[in-house]
Amino acid sequence: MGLNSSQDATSTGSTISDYISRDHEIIDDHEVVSQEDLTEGYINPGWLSPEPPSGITVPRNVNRIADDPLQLCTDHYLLNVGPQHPSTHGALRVVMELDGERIMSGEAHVGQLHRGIEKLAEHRRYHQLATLVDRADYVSGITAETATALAVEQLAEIEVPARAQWLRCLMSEVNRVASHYMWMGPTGLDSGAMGIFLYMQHDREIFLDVLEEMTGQRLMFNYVRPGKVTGDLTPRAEQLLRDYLKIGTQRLQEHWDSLFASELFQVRTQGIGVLTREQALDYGATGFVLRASGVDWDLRRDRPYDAYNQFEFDVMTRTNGDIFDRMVCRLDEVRQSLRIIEQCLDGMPEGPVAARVPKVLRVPEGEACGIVESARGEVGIHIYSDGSDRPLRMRYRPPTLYSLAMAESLLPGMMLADAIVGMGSFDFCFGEVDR
Amino acid sequence: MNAWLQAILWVLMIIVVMLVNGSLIIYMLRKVLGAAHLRIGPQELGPAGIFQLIPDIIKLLTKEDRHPTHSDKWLYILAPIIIFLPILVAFGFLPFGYHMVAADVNIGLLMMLAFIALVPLGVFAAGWASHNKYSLIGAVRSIGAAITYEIPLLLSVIPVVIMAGSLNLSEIVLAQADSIWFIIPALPSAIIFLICAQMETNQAPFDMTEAEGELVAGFSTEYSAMRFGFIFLAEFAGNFVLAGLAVTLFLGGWTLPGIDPAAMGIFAPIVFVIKTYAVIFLFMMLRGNFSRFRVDKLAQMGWKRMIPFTLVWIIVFAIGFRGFQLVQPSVGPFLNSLLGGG
Repeated sequence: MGLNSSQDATSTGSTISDYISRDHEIIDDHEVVSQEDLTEGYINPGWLSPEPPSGITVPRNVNRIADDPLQLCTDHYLLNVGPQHPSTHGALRVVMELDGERIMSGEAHVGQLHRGIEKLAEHRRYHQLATLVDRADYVSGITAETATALAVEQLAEIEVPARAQWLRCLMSEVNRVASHYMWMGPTGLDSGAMGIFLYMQHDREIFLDVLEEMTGQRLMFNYVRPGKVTGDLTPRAEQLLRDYLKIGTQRLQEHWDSLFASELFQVRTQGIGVLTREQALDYGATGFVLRASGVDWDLRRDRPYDAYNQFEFDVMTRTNGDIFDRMVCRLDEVRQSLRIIEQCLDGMPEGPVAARVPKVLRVPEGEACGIVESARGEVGIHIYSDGSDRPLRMRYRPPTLYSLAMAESLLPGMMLADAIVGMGSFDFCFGEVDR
Repeated sequence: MNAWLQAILWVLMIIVVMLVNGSLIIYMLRKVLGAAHLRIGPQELGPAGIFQLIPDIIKLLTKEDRHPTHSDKWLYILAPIIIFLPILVAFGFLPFGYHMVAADVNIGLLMMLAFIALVPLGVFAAGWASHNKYSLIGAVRSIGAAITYEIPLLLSVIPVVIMAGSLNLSEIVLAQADSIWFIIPALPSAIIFLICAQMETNQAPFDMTEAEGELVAGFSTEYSAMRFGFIFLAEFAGNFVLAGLAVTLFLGGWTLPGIDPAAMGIFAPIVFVIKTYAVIFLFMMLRGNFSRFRVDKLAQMGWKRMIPFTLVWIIVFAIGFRGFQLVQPSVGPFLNSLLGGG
């Protein structure tokens, strides 16, 4: 891959206008869709629906299931879900082709929350990148910040003090728990259970308090910078965490009892939205989606970064890969995170929390990639440097963009009510998907 | 008293009860659900937020009353009234006390269930007229749910009719005053009735018609201002009617055990309302923290579980009741001596 695309362009003799005209051809090519393309793979259900629904928003090039001849087939219709819909968890738009309540095909449209974060990063100094990735992953910012810091530290060869590494782990886990609660509650709400959402917000509040105490912010932390963290552990934050650790196991049991143990919830989630192990690997699933499908893989254990090799914790896996397993997998992860938090608080080494890093950080030419286990999967930040104080190119690898492809592939054949819960179970964060 | 004047007074009284009930249930819902969810509920306006309803009503009254561009205008305007009126009529059959009932007819129970069964038509009209796919899905779901729960609802009251030997709601209450509350011999029926009532009033976990997470607001998505207010008021009134019917059929209505019904006087309506609100409280607690039923699972539950169960239960109950009647002369005195009645 060429770092400087304009050089490539001149070397092959093509001009900017050539590129533009070629792009136009591609776009024109894409826009011409014949009726045959629309009906490809579409099986005529018989007397009720001689024609597929027409119009420019017909989901095409996506999986479509055929009508079941044993059931009453009615006219198909298109339903536009989102971007303004109570349970698309952000700015997702899904166009669904429905037969009654059954989804025949569905197509997800992303990009409503695109803010050009990767491009903006080219105009930010390395210290300032943390504020951008916070806005990309607005539910668990600490992990994305850590990935950025790791990439920059690799490039600049900065030694991070031990205490700063431990604090990063501590705050990552605190943020992970907050993010998991932020996700499990609304997924319960999608399935109609209102109480669990508020119970989990109740718990999340404690972790947000800790984050606020340590970083001054509840959402956009700007806490992990190259070579350092911006604040030391305060006594109040430690007290809040210790207080929660005392009741943590009991609270998790309560959450289990009030949502997971409910037969109604199990009926709505077990065996629905099943992502097999092969599918998960094919689609590039990471994090809890992969673990819920039975793959034992966790970056914190398998490629430890910061201080993760010094903690004792289990990687929680499930086997079925359905909505219920994804939920349970994350409830188990909360328990493991609490274990790590406890070890962090007990064994935190003394020392400085910041390495000596110049105010204007210039890193050598090259490229580096920081990968961390975020709350939703693996977040990767790939930075190309040309030796200046700003990255030449930053690439943000969002785990949930890949999850979205998986969710889309699961749509055909689901009921509308299941699709809402099923898509919610992948925990999209649209700041991250659209960047 | 002039019959016409009496009728007008009854109608006025029912409307007043309906409005007061609506405001009470809204406040109760906010506080009860709030407590169930570790929230506080309204607290700013007045002590413990009791005046919160006033700005809510002002908001509903002053909002722009619009209808969607391609909607069926007249049906759209009529639908909230079609939802509202049957509930209003059903109020008339509820016995609040000794001879304290607007329409004391011999088929009161049947009439009441018939009027309650009209509500899904209004819901369907609202969803159909809105010209919105979410509304339409909600409307279709409401019809599907209605044919699922109406049959078990009707079947579940049959043991009560067998015991009371009448369809007149006042006589059913008096029959319970003579013997025992019908919930004791017909507990399975009471449970089925409670589940069906929860479905009838579109409350979680059976709120598929307005499933917020899936259908935005279901059949009422396009409604605003006082039309939405009417739909809401009808929902709360439906709550009261169904809870009141449950009290009348299974919990002794306005009577109390051990007290002569004729001597209840002015306390009868108070007892009735307290019992009704206790049942409404139960409805609300059921709303708190359950996942929503899926439509096909609900149909399966209705057709494969509840209808066969109620049919078998009616047969078992009828045989048991006949047997009890036959042996009653021998066990009656024994039971009486056991209960200390002599």
